[in-house]
Amino acid sequence: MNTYSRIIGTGSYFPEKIMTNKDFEKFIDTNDEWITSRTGMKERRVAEGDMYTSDLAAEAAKKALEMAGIKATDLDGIIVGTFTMDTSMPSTACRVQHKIGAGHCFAFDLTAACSGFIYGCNVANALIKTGSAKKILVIGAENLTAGLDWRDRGTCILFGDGA
Amino acid sequence: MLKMKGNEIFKIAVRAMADSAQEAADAANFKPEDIDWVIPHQANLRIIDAVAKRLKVPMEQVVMNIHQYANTSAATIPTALDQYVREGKIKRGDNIVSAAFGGGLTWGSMSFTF
Repeated sequence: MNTYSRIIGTGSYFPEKIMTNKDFEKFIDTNDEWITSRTGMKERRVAEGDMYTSDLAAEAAKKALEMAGIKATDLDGIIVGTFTMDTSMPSTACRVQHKIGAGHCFAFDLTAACSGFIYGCNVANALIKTGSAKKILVIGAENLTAGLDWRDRGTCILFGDGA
Repeated sequence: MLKMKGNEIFKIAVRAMADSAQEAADAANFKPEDIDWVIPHQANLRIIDAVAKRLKVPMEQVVMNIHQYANTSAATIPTALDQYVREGKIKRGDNIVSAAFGGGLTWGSMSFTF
C-alpha cells in the first residue's frame, strides 16, 4: 500500500508591531507610492525586544497543533525552514521543541532562504513516505528585521517577520 | 546584513519559479483548470503576476498576503496558506501549486491536494 502525506493542520503568527510604507519616509528617501507600485507591499510586521524566530515559530506551531487536534508529544519530528535562527546551536527547531513541549523527536533547521518551507515540506513528505516518521511539524519562520540595513532603501523596505 | 541585487534576480526568479511550478503541477497531473490555488512566495507583486501568467491561472486564484506582511522569506507560503484556510477560502480537496525562490540561489515547488 502506498503511503501519502496530508496536511492535517496549519497555523501562523505575526508580531504585533506594524510598520507602514509611510514610516520609512521618516528616515530614507522613499515613499508609499514608490514601494507599493514596485513591490505590492503596504505594511510589514516587526518583532521587538526579546522576540526571536523560535518564539514566532512556537506560536504558529501551537495553532497548527490545535487545528490538527494533536498534542506536541505526538510529533515525530520538527523541521524549521529559516535563515534567521536564534543561534546556530541549539537549532531553532530544538528551541521550538522545548517551547511547545514536544517529547523525544528529531528537530533540525533547514536553510534554503525563501525556499525553506517548500524544502521542509518535501523532506517531511519523503520521511513520511519511507515510513521513518508519521507526524512532522514543518515551520517557515524568520526574524528578518533584526538583520536589515536600515540605510539601504533597496532592501530594508522589503522584509518583515513572521512564522 | 542582508544584501540583494533585485533587478538582476527578477528574470531568473520568474523563470525558475514558473518552470518548477509547472514541473510540480505536471507531476501531480494538474492541468491549469484543475488548479484551485497558486501559493507563490511573496517577494514581489510583479514576480507573482508573471508566474501566474505562465501557469495560466487567473490572479483571483493566486494567494496573496504581500501587501500586509511584505516578504517574510520562508514564512510567506505557510502564513498565506494558513490565512486562506482560516478565512474559509482554501477548502479540503482543493488542488494547490506552491512555488518559492530565494537567496543562494534556491528554488522549489510542490503540488498537493489540501
